[in-house]
Amino acid sequence: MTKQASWINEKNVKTLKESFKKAKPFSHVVIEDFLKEDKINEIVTALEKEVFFEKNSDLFNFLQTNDFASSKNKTLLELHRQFLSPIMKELIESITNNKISEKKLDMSAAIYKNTDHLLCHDDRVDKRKVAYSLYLTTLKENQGGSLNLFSSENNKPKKITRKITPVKNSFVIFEVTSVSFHEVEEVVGNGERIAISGWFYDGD
Amino acid sequence: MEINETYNEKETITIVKEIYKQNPKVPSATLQQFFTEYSYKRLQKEVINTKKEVRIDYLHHKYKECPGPKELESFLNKKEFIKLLHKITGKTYNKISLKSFVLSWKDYSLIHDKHIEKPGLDIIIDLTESWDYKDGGAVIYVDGTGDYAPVISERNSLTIVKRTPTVRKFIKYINNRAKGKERTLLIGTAV
Repeated sequence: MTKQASWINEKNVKTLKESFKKAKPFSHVVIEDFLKEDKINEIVTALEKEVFFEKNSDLFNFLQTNDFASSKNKTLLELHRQFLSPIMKELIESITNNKISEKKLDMSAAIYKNTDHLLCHDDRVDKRKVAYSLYLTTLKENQGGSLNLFSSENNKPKKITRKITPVKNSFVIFEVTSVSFHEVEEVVGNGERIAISGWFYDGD
Repeated sequence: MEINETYNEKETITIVKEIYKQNPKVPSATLQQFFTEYSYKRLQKEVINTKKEVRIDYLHHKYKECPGPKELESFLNKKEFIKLLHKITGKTYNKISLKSFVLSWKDYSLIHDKHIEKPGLDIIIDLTESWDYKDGGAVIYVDGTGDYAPVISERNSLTIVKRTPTVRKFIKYINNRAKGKERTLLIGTAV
């Protein structure tokens, strides 16, 4: 990073950029130990007071907060502001080689408990450019909750070729394209998958 | 194929007809214990013994399927059954075809813009001996306003659901509580 933020751990942008570009089945990268420890713990505490609403459809089942932009919690509002900051914009743009909006950002938290899931989809809605998830809990592989990425053939999902198991304070980003097929694997058992997720929007 | 004699009685049909009209957006009715126990068991056995194909289109469905039993299809297209549907729905349906679906853990079907079904009267025959809907697996209808109408059927039931152009259906993802269990449904449409 050219500029330093007090809330993000230092990153080697060049390495992240290369990983993002080379990643299969589509461009993505997992940044471990993303936020400063006190910052991530502050967020976890802040979320304990947030209201989570049940979300249920043909595609998914989980609990979700409202967008942080409308939160009354200072910590969550600040995180929303920080993700729209020039430092974050520069980081995401440098890694992904995409121009992202400095005005529009979606950000909410979700809890996946036993049987919760999000089936395969590509995220293409409006001008979403880069999807992200910041994990607040760690799960073992057999507890489910992984972010599964699908390879594709003729613009259709073919097979899961990459599984990203949630690790607390890891940050995953991927480019939203016509082939960014992914799912959140069903959580099995007592583990809880808690993450802050959303999208950076096209800045062009 | 023989059906429960109660469905030949006028009183029963009057009640079913009333139930069918209760939700004007998605008219539906479930006829419990529809077949005689003997016919039901035969039907169930035939479907279980028929080889199924795994169907996966991650953006729309994941399940096993096979053609519906010929004998059943022929029964559903007989004038007696067409007449029964007419008595309940007030409409005459001419052609009924159906398929067998077997779903287990991680199976589902979704609503998808590229998979549009022609409107008609859906027929769902439940061949699952027992099922807990907390495990998923319900056939759920969504009307144009986004309201959900789940079909909570039991073994040996026949459900009819009027599907207008704005009504779509999906089968809710079957979750890990159903590990080792299977849900068997015959689903078709009368047009």
